[in-house]
Amino acid sequence: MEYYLRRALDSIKASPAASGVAVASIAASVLFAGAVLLVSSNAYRMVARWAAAGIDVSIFFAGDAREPDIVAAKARVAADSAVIDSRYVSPEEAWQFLSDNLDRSAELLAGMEPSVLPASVEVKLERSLSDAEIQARLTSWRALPGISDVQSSRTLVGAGSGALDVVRWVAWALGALTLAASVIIVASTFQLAAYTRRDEMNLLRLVGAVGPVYWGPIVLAGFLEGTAASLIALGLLFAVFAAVALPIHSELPVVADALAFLGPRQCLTLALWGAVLGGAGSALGMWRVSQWR
Amino acid sequence: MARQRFASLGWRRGGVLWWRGSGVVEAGMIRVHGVSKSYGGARQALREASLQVREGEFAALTGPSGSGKTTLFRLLIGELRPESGSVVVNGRNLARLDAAGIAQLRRELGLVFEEPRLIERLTVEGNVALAAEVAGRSRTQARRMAEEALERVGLDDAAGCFPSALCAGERQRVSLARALVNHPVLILADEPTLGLDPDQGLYVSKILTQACRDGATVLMATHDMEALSVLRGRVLVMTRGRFVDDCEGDTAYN
Repeated sequence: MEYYLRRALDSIKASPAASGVAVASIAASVLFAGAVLLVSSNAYRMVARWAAAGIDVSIFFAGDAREPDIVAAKARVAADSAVIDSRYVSPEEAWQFLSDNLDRSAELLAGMEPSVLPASVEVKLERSLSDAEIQARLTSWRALPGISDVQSSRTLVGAGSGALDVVRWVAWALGALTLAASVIIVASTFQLAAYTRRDEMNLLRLVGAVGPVYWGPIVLAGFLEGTAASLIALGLLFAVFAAVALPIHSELPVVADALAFLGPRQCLTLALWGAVLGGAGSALGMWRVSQWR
Repeated sequence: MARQRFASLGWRRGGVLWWRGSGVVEAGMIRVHGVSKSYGGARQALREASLQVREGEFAALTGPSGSGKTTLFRLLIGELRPESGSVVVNGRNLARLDAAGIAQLRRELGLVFEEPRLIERLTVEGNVALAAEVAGRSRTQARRMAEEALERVGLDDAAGCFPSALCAGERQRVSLARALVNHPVLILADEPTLGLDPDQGLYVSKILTQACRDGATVLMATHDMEALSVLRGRVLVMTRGRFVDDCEGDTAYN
C-alpha cells in the first residue's frame, strides 16, 4: 500500500496544473450536486412539516360581507362533525399575526391599514378525511354568502409536493447531465495528466509493471484528488448555506426552523461521489492514453 | 529446436535451460527462428532471421542503420509480434504469452535503451529502485538493491541526485543500474553507447561485460567500433533484416 500511496502522491506532485484542474472540475460537480441536494432536502422538510401539522382550512370573508352572513358561516362551520376546532380571525388579529411573523421586517407593513387583510375563519379538520370529503366541504363553504375564498393546507401541500416532484425530476436530469459532463471533463483532465506522464507509463510497462502495479497509483491519485475536491466543495457549500441561512434565521424565523445543512450520510455520499468520480475519471483517462499507443 | 513436454519439472542441464512454464520446454536463452517483420507491408525490417544465444553468452549485434536491430529488440521484449517464425526468450515462446506473461518476462530482463529514459522527478536511487519495486520488492529491499546496482556502475555517490544533474554518460549508467537491479538473467541493450564520449562508452561496455561475467546473458546492439574493440564475445552482423555474419569480437573489429 505504501508503494501505491507514495507513487500516487508523487504523480499528483508531478503535474500540479493538471491535478488542480481535475480537483476544480470534480469540486464543481460535487458543489452542484450538493446544492441540488441541499435545496430539495430543505424544501421537502418544510412541506413534510407543514403536512404533518394537520388539515388547516382558511375561509376568507369578502370585504363587504354582512354581519349576519359572517355569523351564519361561523355557525355552519362549527356544526360540521369533522371540524375539530374553528376560530374567527378579525382583520386586526390577522395583521398582528403577520407583523409578529415578519419580526424585524415588520416595517414593510408601514403605511398600510389592517383592513387590507380579510377576516377569516381558521378551521382544523380531522386528519382522517379523504381528499374527496375535504373537497366537498370546501365547495359547500365556498358557496356560502359573504365568502370570497377557501384554501386548504392539503391542497397547498399537494401543489407543493407536485412542484417538488417536478423540481426533483429536473434535479435528477441535471444531476445525470452533470454526472456525464463531469466524467468526460475529469477523464479529459486525467487524460492530459496521463499524457504528460506517458514516457513514465511506457517505461513502467517496459520494466514489467502490469495490473494494479501499473494503473493502481494513477487511479489512487484520482481517488485522492476526488476526495480532496469533495471536501473543498462541501466546505464551500456550508459557507454558502451559512451565509444564506443566517439572514433567514433573523428575518423569517418560521421558515428558519425547518432549515438544516446536509446530514452526515448525505455529506459522506457526496464525498464518496467525488472520490469515485476522481478514480473513474483517472482510470478512463489512462485507458484512453493507453489506446493511443 | 530442442523441445519437449514436461508436466511440472524444470532444471538446467548442459548449459541449456529447461523451462516448465506452460509445460513446453525451450532450450537456449534466446532462440529466434525464421522471423519476418514488416511495417505496414512497405518495409521489410526482418527477413526470416534466425538467431540463438546461449545462457551466459555475451553477444554484440551490429550492422548499419535500418538493418533490423531495434526491430529484433522490440520482438524480444514482446513489444512487437512477428509475422512469421518464433521468438523464444528465457524458455518462453512469446507467441503464447498474454500481456501478464510478457510483463512477467520483462521483470526478468534488464533493458537498456539508446535514450536512458529516466524519470526526471525521481532521484537516481528512486529511478533504479522503481524497477525493483515493480518486480515486487519492498521499499527497503528495493533501496538496498538500488544502492548495490549503483555501486556496480560506479554511481553510488550520486544516489540522491536528480538525473538533470548528471552528464549523458552518467545518465546511461543509471539506466544500466536500473537494468541490473533485479539481477536479470538476460540483458538487452539497444545502442547503449550511442552519443556518449569514448571513455563513457567504454565504461558502459565494461559494465555489461562484467554483468555477463557475473552470470547474465547479454545481447547488445551497437554501431560503436570502440565498444566492439573491447568485447571478447560473439559479434553478430545484420544487414537488411538478416544475419550475415557471426564471429568473435576481435575478428569483427578487424
